[in-house]
Amino acid sequence: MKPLHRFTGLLAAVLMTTTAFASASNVQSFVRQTFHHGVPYEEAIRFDAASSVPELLGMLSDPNEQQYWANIVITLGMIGDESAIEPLIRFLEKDSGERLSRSHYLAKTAVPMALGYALHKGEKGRALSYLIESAKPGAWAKRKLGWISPDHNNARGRDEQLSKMAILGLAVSGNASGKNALVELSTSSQDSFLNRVRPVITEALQEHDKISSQGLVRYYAR
Amino acid sequence: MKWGKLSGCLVGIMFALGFVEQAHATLDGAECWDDGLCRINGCTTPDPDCDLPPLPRLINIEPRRYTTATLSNADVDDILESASNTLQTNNGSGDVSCDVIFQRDGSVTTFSTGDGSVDSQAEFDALIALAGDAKVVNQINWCGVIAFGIVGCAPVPGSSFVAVRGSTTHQEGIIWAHEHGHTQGLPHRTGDVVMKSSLAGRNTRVNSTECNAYRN
Repeated sequence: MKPLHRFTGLLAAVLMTTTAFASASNVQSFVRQTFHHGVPYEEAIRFDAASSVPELLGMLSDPNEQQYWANIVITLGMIGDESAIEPLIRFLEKDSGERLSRSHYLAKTAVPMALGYALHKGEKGRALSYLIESAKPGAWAKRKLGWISPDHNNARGRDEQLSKMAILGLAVSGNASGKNALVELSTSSQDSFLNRVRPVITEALQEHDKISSQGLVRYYAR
Repeated sequence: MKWGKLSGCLVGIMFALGFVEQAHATLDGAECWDDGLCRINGCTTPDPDCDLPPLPRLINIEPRRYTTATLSNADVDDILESASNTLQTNNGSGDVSCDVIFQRDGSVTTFSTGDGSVDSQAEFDALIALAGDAKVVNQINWCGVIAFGIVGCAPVPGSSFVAVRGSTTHQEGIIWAHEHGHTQGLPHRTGDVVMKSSLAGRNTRVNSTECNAYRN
């Protein structure tokens, strides 16, 4: 029996090594795809955080991978490892004075939703507080974002888009505190931006309820 | 055979009159004649003598863009040519040569509905309600569900679709063919096919059922 145990242990080690290697290499192929209807959640969460997160963070700092940065950001959020939260926030806030390429800009706008996905995988105080603050455009001015959106003529348009993304991030989080934040936003009548995006907030609340009750895997399994 | 009758009689007359080219053009634009002579798409009429092969199905696409999105007439022509080639080319097993030609219907016009980012069903519905067949925006974060990285969205079936710009013309051709397929009622399926949910350059195949939907 002893030799068999040793063999089993060896085989398990080989399998674990093989699996980890496969995860790391597969995650690169995964994020380099284009998805007609968005990054598929059920596939993204299969990647092992220990091997995939460092791989993805490496790609996120490599300008040669810029075209895939948005998928990388979202996949990091879906994997949901705590270690990716601060790097994602830094990625959003860094850069200044330059008009971004579309792919770079889209990747930055992906960060609030990525934080929402990460929050869905478990309580993460930093992600939650960042999202709640971010849902109001004034937060971005306080953070002194320096980069320029290719889709907007001014910082206000950029900030409002980022706040919409934060609202969507709160929705996909399915998090109870996230819901409270959305309810508060939906009842606020002082802010012209919130008044304008009220239909988006209302729908975000409805989607939040679905996600909260059935989870993201079932939410996307349609 | 009516085509023989056409060739031997009508074309002979046209030759005599020096209008051969014009005659062919006229034939391409006409329906089946009362005496059985046929032309484009006339073979769908109940005429047993109509034996001309069906001509390509022309699909007119009226292109529109959000005010800050980038899309020129030349861009649209390139995308539509790519979409046509994608459907016309038989790439082997499981594929058919689908004889359709996408063509631009008018110049690209702009719209200011929304903010260039589709983030809810209400925003999506507002764009679909606009005139036009292809509406290009900057970002799509809602397509039945909240999601990120969406490159196109269409009702199934429906009258138009929303898309963002892709990284290559070939990619955009597949996106437009895919989304137009949804408007024709086509669902997703697996394989190296246009209607696959993920997009790759090799996803260019359509089966005969899908081709019929495009041709309807």
